[in-house]
Amino acid sequence: MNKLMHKRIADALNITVRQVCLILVSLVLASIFLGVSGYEPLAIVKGIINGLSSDIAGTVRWAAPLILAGLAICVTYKAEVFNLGVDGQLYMGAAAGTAVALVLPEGLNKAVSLVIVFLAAMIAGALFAMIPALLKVYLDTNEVVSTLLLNFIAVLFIEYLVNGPMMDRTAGTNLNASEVLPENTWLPRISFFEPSSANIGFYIAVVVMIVIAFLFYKTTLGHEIKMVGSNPVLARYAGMKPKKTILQVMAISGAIAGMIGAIEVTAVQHRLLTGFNPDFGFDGIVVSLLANNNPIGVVFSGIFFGSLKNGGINMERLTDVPSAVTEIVMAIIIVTISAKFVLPRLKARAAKVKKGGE
Amino acid sequence: MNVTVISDMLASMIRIATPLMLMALGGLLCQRAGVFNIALEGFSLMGAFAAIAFVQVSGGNVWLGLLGAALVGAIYSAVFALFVTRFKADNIIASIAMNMLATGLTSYLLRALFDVQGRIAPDKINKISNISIPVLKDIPILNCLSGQSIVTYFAMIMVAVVYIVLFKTRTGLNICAVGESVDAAMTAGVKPAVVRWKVILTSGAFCGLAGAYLSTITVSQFSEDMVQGRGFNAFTAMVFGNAHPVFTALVTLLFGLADAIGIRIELSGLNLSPSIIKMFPFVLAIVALAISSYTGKLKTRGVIGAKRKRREVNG
Repeated sequence: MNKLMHKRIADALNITVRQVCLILVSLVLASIFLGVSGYEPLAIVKGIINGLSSDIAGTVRWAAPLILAGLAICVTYKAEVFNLGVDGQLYMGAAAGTAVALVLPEGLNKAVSLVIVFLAAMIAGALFAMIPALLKVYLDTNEVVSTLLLNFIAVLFIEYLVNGPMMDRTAGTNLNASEVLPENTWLPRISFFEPSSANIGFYIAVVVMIVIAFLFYKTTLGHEIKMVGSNPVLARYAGMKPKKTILQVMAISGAIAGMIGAIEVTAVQHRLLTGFNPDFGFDGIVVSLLANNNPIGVVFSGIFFGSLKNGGINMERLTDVPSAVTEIVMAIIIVTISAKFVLPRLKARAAKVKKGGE
Repeated sequence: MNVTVISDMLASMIRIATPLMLMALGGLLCQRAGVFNIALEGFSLMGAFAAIAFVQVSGGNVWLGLLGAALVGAIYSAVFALFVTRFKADNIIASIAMNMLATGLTSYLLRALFDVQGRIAPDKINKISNISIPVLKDIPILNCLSGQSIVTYFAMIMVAVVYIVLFKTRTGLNICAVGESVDAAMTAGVKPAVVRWKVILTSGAFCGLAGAYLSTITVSQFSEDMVQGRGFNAFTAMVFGNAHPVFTALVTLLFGLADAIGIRIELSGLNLSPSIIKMFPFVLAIVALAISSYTGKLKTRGVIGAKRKRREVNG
């Protein structure tokens, strides 16, 4: 047991060192890129340092949805399912949460109403995730493509809602948004970070991480997820039901995505509007991959990307550097991570050569 | 509904299907060679931007825009090819990265090169005039084929070219061999990496041209995220078309028809929200995807091949 523990710690350290090197490489590349196009090369690094020191509030605000998105991805990834539809499920969650928040009785207790709103959002997210999951399980439809297509449907659905049934008709101008939510459904912001919109969504994200980590390492479902992911045939022989497991992970993933929607609506926007989601779902893939799909690691990588995002936004506001550079950094990070398989191959080849030489 | 209306609608179907057709042909070649390429979206976005950039710099020359877009699309796809072949990157993740990079890069370059945000319309643009086909243009219904853009005819010719290359030449045989069994292909002396480089670069050029069509022929400007999921729709069309050039082209026409009908409904003043109408092609794509996966025989080998690859790579 002790030995196992040591090995786990050594592995974790190993991965951490490797990923930190990756981050440094991609930051250097991005800085060179900035320099070549005539901006201040170190702007992005400064932005991150700022985001982790003086402007930590903004980082906390962005870290919450990013951590949750990372968790939504890592749950499915372990089962070898790709949920690229987190963005769509998030929108559906936001829509359901808003709809419920707008009809709740005025004087209801804040905690109770928030729980109801979040439950509605999670159910909506999970249900929307069921479409690709059922298609995959029963018709063998590739979930990568179906979830990507469903994202566009969700975006258009929100567009329809805020221009039609849920449009704020009291507003004088045409805002393309729903009515403002009643205050008893506003998720509290962290008073320490006022006036920023950093909210207790961050705590929620940490709690969800603990739940997911417990699920992975201490429950039968966690074991099943890993088995189904690594060897579905063996899993079936062992009496597991891979189809059921896939449905379960997609439901969990969709529910987490719905939760992001609820947080964004109840804590940040306070109303449903189009385009409030800057592709959290795709960012979640980067967050999860950087953490090697480890739920505990997701928190740290979520905070890192939170600072990157926050840094990028500040950078654009204060200097001339476009914030799109953060997306470039993210793309570089994930493409280099996806290429990580080169090293073991080289090692294997080296071993082979050595063996042959003897 | 009279003949002119039908002909108009078919003409707009062909116009809408053109970029899809080009993208799908690129995706099809990759699929046949066992590369799961959903980066079509990103390649096209780069093409759309490059076309407008070239038009702006050259003072309105659309020909240069089209050429430049195809070139930029191919160069951009080379990054994907490098990671997928040389570094054995997971195809899906590399595709996502390429799409993300395209979004970031185009929005960044918009600021860095032209100092604008969101969109750019070139100061001057000499649109290419459409080609009118002498006899065809007088035949009712069929006259929808006349008066289309040069890119449309190019796309149609490419369907035939891809068909011939894929099924009648050695190159095509090699592509399919690599897609079916890398080991068998290698035993036969085919270099899988070389074959994959070729198909990915070709798909990049096709997608670049498709993007250029969107930004210089459909409209005359570039705006952020202007590809709007067409790359994913094209990929679905390819899956539904069983990675066969002719069937795939027909499926893109079907998607184009769905869009064209949507536009008709919107114009007809029916009280239906435009957002709902815009969902139509996506719903159709999902239905098509479900059908093609259900009817097992239409299941493309490439998709399963890519999955097997993924497990192997991750393990």
